[in-house]
Amino acid sequence: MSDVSRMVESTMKRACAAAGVFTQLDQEQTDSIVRAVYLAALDKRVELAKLAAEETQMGIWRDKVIKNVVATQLIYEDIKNTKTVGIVSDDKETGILEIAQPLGPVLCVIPTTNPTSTVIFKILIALKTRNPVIISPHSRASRCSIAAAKICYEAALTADAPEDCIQWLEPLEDRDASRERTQLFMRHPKLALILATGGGGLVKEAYSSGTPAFGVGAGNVPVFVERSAEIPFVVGEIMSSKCFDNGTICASEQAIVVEKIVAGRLRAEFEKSGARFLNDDEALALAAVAFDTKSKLMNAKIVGRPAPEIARLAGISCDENTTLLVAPLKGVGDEYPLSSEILAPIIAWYEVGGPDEALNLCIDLNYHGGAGHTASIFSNDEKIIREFSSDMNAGRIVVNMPSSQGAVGGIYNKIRTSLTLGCGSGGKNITTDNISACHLLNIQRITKRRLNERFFRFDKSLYFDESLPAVEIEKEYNKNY
Amino acid sequence: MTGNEAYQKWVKNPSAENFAEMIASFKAIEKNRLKLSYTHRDETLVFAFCGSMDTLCVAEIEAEVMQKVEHVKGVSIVFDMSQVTYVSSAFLRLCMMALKSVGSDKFCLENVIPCVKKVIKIAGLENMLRMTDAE
Repeated sequence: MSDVSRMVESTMKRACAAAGVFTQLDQEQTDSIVRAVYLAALDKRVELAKLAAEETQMGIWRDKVIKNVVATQLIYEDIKNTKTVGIVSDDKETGILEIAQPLGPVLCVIPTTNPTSTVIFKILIALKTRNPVIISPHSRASRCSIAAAKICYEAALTADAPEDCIQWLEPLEDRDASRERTQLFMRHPKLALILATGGGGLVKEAYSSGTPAFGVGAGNVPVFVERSAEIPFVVGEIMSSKCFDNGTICASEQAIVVEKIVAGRLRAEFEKSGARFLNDDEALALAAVAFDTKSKLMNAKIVGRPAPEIARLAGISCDENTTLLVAPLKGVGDEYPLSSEILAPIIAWYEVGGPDEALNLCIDLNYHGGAGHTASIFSNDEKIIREFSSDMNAGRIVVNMPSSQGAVGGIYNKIRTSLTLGCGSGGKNITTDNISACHLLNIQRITKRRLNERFFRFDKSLYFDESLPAVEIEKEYNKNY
Repeated sequence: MTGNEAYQKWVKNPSAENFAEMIASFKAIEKNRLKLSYTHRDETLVFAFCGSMDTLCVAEIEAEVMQKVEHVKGVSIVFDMSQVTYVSSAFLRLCMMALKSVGSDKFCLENVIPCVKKVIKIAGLENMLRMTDAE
């Protein structure tokens, strides 16, 4: 057995012991652990944010503080009253009683873009459901992710959580060994679930492991600004979303599709707010540094970096107060790299003649790498909002709000707060839900006897009469006498 | 700190703090008496545990249990679990330590109640920790 295998076995043994011990805790004990962890992590929100910004060199520490607040306070408020232990529902009419049971050890894969908030979020939802977690940090963010996990673990122990209910994987120098370790964990027969937040390759690996997994998909969020939208309001909302943490949220807007009739006003408002519109040559230069056309992925070096720095890399002159680079494009697809998802303060810009053209363009953007994720619209026309929503392949359609914060939930709407956004079949995920504690339970259903009277009354011999058409059987089955 | 140590500390410095510490240690001893008792059955030493085997409780009884287990090498050891309502990771570790000390053929858990049996199953220890019912 290799060192890596031994390490995996030892971690899994401890996780299984914790899983066993966890089953004995009642709701009150579980809730007191969750509260202790939430408070400890909230206490360290600034320290962890600064550590994350410094280690990853991505984003803005103040925005990372807000991410940590979302992962602690908003998540806690969302799950604190949810029943996750024992009987969670008892319907006398149907005779169905539901009992919540934990899943078992959960492997949490953590992205580099939200390295502390995702750790805290996943720990809170796992502890709430009495599941031990193994935190697998990104190699570029291991220090801050492990720091977050340690804070949570120490707090959990003070509230009498099982030993080893939170474990973390120390970084390995050897990339092959690191990959082997991840694969061994994912395929371990005792692992109950993978919470895979990360790049496409990693999510695919999780799905291929044979262990149940909640993954995420890539986003490529179109935002349709329709003529009835309030223009200054739209600009404020998009800027607060797209520029948040320098654009590292996967639900952030990637392309603005605006009707020509209001495009001039919108552009002027954006420019007033610190956006820099690029010409064709500048857009080409930006594409060359922002996107790797071979791998068809954004360039990691510009992820979460400030707009002026990215502009300098592309040789574009730019005011130091610039917060967003806007690239007018003529099409969508591989030949227009900036029409793809780029987690940085860069956004594509399209002007269209009317709603039909806008919807067609949004469909193209949506299906260009972002199917199942999120779509955004600014409009006060209910008919157009419905039409847009029905045309988009998106788990979340956010209306008149910042897309980043809207998709995460809990601030601008009542959607479930989460840092793991399911993308449904479009994103090759099992659900479009915002993943939370309710997804980390096995629900047992105790079903009492309640007779289906129509079935019992029905003359079963009719089923064996081949000459009897289906409609006759249906009529007989539904006879009310 | 043992009861005697706490007593000596209080004698040397009869402060209110040391007095409280001494009383707490006496209470812990009393609690442990209720949590653990021993009996002999032929060539078998039976440890009967009672109540919640949480981390703190195990920390208090671990040394005593292991001392006895190691002292009677060659003798079979039984942990009577009929009165145990909760087991912590620390207790599972204590079981594994006892098992290693006497060998798997000379160690077993007896009268394990269902919710504790489930813990042992989920922990993946059922193949190592033999579970039997008392004859």
